[in-house]
Amino acid sequence: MNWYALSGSIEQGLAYGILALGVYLTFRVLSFADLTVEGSFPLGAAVAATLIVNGAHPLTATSVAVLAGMAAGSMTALLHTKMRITGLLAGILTMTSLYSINLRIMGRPNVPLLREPTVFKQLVQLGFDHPYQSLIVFTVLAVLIKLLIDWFLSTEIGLSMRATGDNQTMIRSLGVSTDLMIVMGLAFSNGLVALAGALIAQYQGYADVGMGLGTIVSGLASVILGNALIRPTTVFRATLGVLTGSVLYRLAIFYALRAGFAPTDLRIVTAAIVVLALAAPTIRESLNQRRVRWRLRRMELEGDELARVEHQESV
Amino acid sequence: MNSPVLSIKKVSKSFPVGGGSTKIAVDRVSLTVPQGQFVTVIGSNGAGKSTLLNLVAGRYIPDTGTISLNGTDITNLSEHRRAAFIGRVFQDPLQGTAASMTIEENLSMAESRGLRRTLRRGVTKERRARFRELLAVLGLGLEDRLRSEVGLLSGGQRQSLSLLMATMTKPSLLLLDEHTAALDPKTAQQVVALTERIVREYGLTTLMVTHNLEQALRLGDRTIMMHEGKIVLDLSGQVRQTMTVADLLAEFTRVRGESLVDDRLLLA
Repeated sequence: MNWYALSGSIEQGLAYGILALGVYLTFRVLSFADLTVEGSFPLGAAVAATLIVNGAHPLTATSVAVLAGMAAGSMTALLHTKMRITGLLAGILTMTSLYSINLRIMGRPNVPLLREPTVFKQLVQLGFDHPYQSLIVFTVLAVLIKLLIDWFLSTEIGLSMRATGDNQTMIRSLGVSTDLMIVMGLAFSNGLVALAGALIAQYQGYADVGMGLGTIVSGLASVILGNALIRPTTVFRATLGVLTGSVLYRLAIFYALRAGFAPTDLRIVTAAIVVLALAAPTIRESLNQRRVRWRLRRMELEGDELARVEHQESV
Repeated sequence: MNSPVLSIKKVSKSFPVGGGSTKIAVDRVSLTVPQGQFVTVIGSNGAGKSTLLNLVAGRYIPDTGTISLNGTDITNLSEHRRAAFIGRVFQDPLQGTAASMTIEENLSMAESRGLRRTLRRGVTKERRARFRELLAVLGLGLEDRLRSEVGLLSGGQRQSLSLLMATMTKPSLLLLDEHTAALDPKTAQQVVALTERIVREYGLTTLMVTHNLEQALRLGDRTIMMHEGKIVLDLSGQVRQTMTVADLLAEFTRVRGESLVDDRLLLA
C-alpha cells in the first residue's frame, strides 16, 4: 500500500480524533449518550464556512464555530437538566433542530471553500508549507487537546465532572451542582465537536449539511475501540486510547474500502467494528471457557484410554 | 443566646401513593438540636426517619414548615448548596463514594466541600499529606493506597471512607442514615466505633438513624422515636440513661398499640 493513502487515514483519524475526544467527555466521563454531536459537527462546519465566505478571518470563523457548538451542547444539557427530558431524547431534539439551523446559516446545503482562505492556506502564507502540513497540524492540535482534557479532568471542577458521571448522589452531597457539571461538560464536548467540524470543512474544502451523518457512531467506535485496546486505568491512557482508536478506525475503513466494500457499506462496517470492540471481553471469556471445557474432556478421554490400556495389560 | 444548629418547625411531607391518594411521611414534626448534640433516631419501617433526614439534607422540599441551620432558613435551599454545611453518609456504601475514581480523588472532592471549585489541581501535595494522616486514623491501611480505585475496596472500607469524607471539613451537621445497616456485624461495629470517635473528637452535631435499639441508647446524648411521621418519644439526660432496650421495646409496642386503638376508634 502507499504511504500517501496511509498518511491520509492517519490525518483523518486525528482530525476526527478531536470529535472523538468530545464524544469521550460525554459518553465516558459524564455517562451521557449525547446525540447532539450529529448536529454540532455540521454546525461547526456551517458557521466557519459561512463566516469565511463572508470575509471573516479563518481563525475568527473557527473560534465562533466553537462557541456555536458550545451553545448547542448547553441547549441539550438545559433540556435535560431543567426540563427533565431524557438525555438521549434531548440530544435528538437538538440534533434535529440543528439541521434546520445549519441550513439557515449556510442558506444552501453546501458551501464550497476551495477558493477561500482557510487556516491551512493561512499557514502556507505564513511560510509553513510542507507536504505533510495538515498531518502535522492535526497531530499537534489533537495532542494539545488531549493534554488539555487530561489537565482539566484533574482540576477541582474536572474531578466534580467525573464524579457527576459516576455517582450523582455522592457529588451532590459534597456540594456540587450536577446540573451545572452536565451543562459545562456538554458545552465543552460540543465545542470540540464543532471545532472538528470547522477544521474538517476547511481541510476538505466545503461544508455540507449532511456531513454530520454517522459522526456519533464513528466517535463512539473510536472511543470504544481505543478503550478496548488501551485499558483506560487513568485519564491520560483513556484519552490516548481515544486518539489511537480514532486513527485505527480510519485505517479500518481504509482497508475495508480496499477490500472491495462500497462506500455505502461503511456504516455497517462501522457498526460491526463497534459490536466487535464491545463484545470482545465477552467473546474472549466464552472462548476461554470453551477451551477449559475441551481440555477437561480431553483429559477425561485420555483417562479412559489409559484405563483401557491398563485394563488390557492387566488381562 | 446562640441559635441552635438545627431547627425544624412543623415540617410536613407527603408522597403520592397512586390512585390519587397521598401518604404523609412526615407529619408536622418540630425538632431543635443544639450545638454538639448527638441524636439517634429510631422507629419502624415507614415511620418517616429517612424522609426527615432527606428533608434536612434537601433531597426533598417540605410541603409546609421551615428548616433552619445555624439560624438561617434553608427550607428552599437546593441540596448541593446546603451540602456546604451538611455532611452525609448513606446506608448503601456504594452511594457515598465514586467507584471509578481513586481514594485521593474522592477525598479531594470532599475536601472542597463549601469552597468554590476552581481550575486548580484537585489533588495537591499538601492535600495528599493531609489525606494520609486522616486515613491512618482509620487503621485500614488505606493511607498506602491513595491511588487505588475506590471500586476495589470492600463495603466496610468504602463506608469508613464515606464517613471520613462526610466529616473531614467539620460540617455544621452530620446526617447518618442507617450507615451501618448494610455491613456485616463485625464491620458495622468498627464503623460505629469510628463514628463515635470522629463525632466526639470534632464535636459534630449529629442525627443518626438506626434500627439497632441498643446502639440508639448507647450512642449519643438523645434518642427520638418516630411513628407514622411523628416524633412520639424524645429521651435525653437521666431518663435516657436508665432506659433499657426492653423498656424501649415496650414503648414501641405501646405506641403501636395506641395507634391501633386510634384506628379502631376512627373506624367505629
